[in-house]
Amino acid sequence: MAPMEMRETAFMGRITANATHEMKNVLAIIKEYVGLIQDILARLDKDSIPSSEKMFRSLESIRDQVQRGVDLSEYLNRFAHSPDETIGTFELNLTVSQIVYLSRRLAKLKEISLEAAQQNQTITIVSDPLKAQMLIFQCIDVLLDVLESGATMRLEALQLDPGTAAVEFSTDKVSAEARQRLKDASGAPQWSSLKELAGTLGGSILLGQEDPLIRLVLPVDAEHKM
Amino acid sequence: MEGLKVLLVDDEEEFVSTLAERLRMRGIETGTAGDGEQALKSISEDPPQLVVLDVMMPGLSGLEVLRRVRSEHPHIPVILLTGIGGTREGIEGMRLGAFDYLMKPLAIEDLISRMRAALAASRGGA
Amino acid sequence: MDAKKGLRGIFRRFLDVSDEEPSPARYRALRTDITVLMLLITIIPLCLMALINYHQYQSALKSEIVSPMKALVNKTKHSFELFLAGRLSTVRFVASAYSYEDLADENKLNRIFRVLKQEFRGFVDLGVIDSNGLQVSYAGPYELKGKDYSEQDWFQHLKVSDVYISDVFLGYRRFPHIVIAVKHIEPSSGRSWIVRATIDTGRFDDLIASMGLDPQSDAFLINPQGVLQTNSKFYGKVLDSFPGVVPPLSHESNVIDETDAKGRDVLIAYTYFAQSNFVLMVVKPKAEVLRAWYTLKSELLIVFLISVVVIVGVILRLTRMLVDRLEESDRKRELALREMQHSHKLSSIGRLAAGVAHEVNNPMAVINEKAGLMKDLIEFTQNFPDKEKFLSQVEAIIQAVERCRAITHRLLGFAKRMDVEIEILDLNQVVKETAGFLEKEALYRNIRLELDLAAHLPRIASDRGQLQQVFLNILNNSFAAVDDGGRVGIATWEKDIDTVGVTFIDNGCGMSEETLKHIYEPFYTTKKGAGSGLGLSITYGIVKKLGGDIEVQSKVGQGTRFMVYLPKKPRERSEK
Repeated sequence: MAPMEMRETAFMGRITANATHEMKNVLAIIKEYVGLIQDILARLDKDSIPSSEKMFRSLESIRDQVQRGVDLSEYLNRFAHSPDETIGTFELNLTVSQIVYLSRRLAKLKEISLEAAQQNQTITIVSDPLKAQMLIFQCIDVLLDVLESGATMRLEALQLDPGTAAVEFSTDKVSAEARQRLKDASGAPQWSSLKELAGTLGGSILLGQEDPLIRLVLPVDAEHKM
Repeated sequence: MEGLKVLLVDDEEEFVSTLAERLRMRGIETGTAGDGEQALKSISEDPPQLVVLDVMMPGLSGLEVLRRVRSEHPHIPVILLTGIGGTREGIEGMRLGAFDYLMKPLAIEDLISRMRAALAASRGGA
Repeated sequence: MDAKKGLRGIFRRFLDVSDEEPSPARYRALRTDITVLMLLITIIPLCLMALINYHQYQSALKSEIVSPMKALVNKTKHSFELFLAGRLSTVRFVASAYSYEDLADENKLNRIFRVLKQEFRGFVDLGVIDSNGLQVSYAGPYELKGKDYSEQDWFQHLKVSDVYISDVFLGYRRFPHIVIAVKHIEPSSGRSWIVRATIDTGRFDDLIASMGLDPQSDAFLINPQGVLQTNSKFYGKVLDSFPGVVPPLSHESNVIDETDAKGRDVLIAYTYFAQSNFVLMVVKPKAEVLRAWYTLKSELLIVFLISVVVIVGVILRLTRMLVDRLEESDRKRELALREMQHSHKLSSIGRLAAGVAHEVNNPMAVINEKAGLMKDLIEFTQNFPDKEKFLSQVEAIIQAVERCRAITHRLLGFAKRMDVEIEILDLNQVVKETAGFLEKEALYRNIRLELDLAAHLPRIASDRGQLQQVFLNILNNSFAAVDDGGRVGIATWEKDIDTVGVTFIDNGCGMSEETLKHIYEPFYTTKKGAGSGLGLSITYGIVKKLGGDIEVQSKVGQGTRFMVYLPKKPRERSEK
């Protein structure tokens, strides 16, 4: 990335990191209050509270929602913190599932479901984590514009060989219009800048007509390829 | 507020159900719908006096639902719920004929006072 | 062809600018190429023209100088020949009109001589020689009667020819003379005699003087052996040897270039006499002859040099301008390209952050409702134990939700900075919001963050998100500049009827003048570290886009003052 984009990204990163950090703090506070109320309720005689059942359910629900918020803040915070390190080690499956989690809302607005394939194998990557995350996110972004509503987009991280890993983006249904949009997307400047970005990581990116629609190939150790 | 019947439309199930329960505790008959289609169906089957509608929904968007409600049931006032920073959607909604808009998370007292205002206005107008 | 190759190279360089990162060396090379090429295509024709002109002028001028010289030489030669022919015919007349007896009689000869002297200038003596070479009679100043000439060259010459004109020689009185001898053969008796006259060559000098030459020029006669026959101004006296090459025999007058014995470059016009062994030479120094030419030449040279200087100057300037413009437009394009790319990338990062902010909002709404429900349950239950205690806990949760909402709101504000979105806003409010973002850091680093906001600041029409970014960028700079425990101040004020100002003061490390000069340059960074130089160029760009301006004052070690001026109404809007 050019220095200016780097700075912009660093700027956004700083803001986002700050915001998510604060959010996590606030959520932690809520969690504490919930715990406190639960403790007090537990000590009371259940019969003296007419709606104790409802109270407990509400508290549980708040706990769940807090966790949802914490996860989101956590993942976004990780994304935001990435600009600090130009080279870092990360697990590709985890990264993919985090980005999928973060992108779910964007997908939901287009009525596309996003899922990350569950993998037991760990794929450790040494690369620029921000660029890698941006790449994966932007691939999702490209496909969100291409696929029709109701489709499911599936991301899968794969170890191709000891030196390379890949993220494959596939879908369960591609209409003729979607195919045309795919073709158009591969000619768009956005796509060439993605290719360029992949190139700076020593990787490559391919847009196809059949599954996988996008295959993003990354070297396992980019430090020695960059 | 006795005898008041409203429809709450939001895709976040836990949000609508809880808010509905709280409104019912205040004597407001509250129905819920999880998306736009369901909301339109429910409105034509059993018209409420007021609709509280979330703008951001998958599928039929809140603004689209608003448009249809305004054309098919112009006497039912609509209050919009927007996400955070949703000023633009709110203003767009007002332009389309929503009575008011509120940002989530909201204070229930706020919602109820706007509902009152909306009903007063629609009665006065009718 | 090298020029062709060079040209192609230049065009290639012009055309493929997009392929490579433009480097200063590339522009230098381009500048050199264009300069050299333009110099070649202008100077070469100029040189050629100058050369051709030079030669044309030279030959034209030369012919203009040469032909009068030739004419002069011819004219003078005719005068000489006329003079010689006149004397010769006189002597011939004497030889043929009188009988041998008459001529042998000295008294008669003396009388003839006197008449000759009266009628024709230059006759020194007159003698008659018989066929054996013996002087039979003599009229003149010397005692030459009885002298035997039979062994002399001219007498031998007269055996085959009947006329003889001698070279110049010095007579007894040390005057230059020539001798004219005519042989007469009496047809009736077959007897022959020779009439010999000596003639003073003073007349030659008159003839030469009548040429009217300028003082630098010289004219004289020589014989084919290179002996001067008349006095020369520069090359010696009569009968001295001419210090130079005798020009080759020619029956026409000629002009040759020579370097004379004195080392002068001269033009020599010469002609051989038909009847006698004389060569008439006119010598003119070239410098004199070609003075006009030299003046012209130096004028030509000056014009040429001035043209070259002007051309070189214009080309250098033009090339510099051209390449600078090219560089500038490349830079602009590059910037625009980056701007485009980064705005795209930013919007995707921004969209992600915005998406997440919205996504976080949903659980917050749910928590809010759940807490609200609990609050309702507690409030609606008549004898809820520890009612107040529970209510305060639940209220705390609702407040925490409110705080979280503020955070996501702020994050959204920054994430969604796309197009300029003008709204009427309270600048103080924007300043407070932005400052709020850094309150934590201020607290943590013990930095005093002081707000001095004008109480009745008019609301302005501007873009909230963009302003937030501007203020945050500047504040980030200030925070990076101050040490822990430092001071950062923000003040708002009304500058004039159209403008409001926001001042940011810190007592941090400050910036050097050198740094100040460059802070808005997009790729400028101080070596201090990554944190310090967060996009002041972006900040500057945004402020300009909003129709405002930024002013910076800074002193190393004392601190920095940023002043942001914003129009109350955006300019573009009012034009529309």
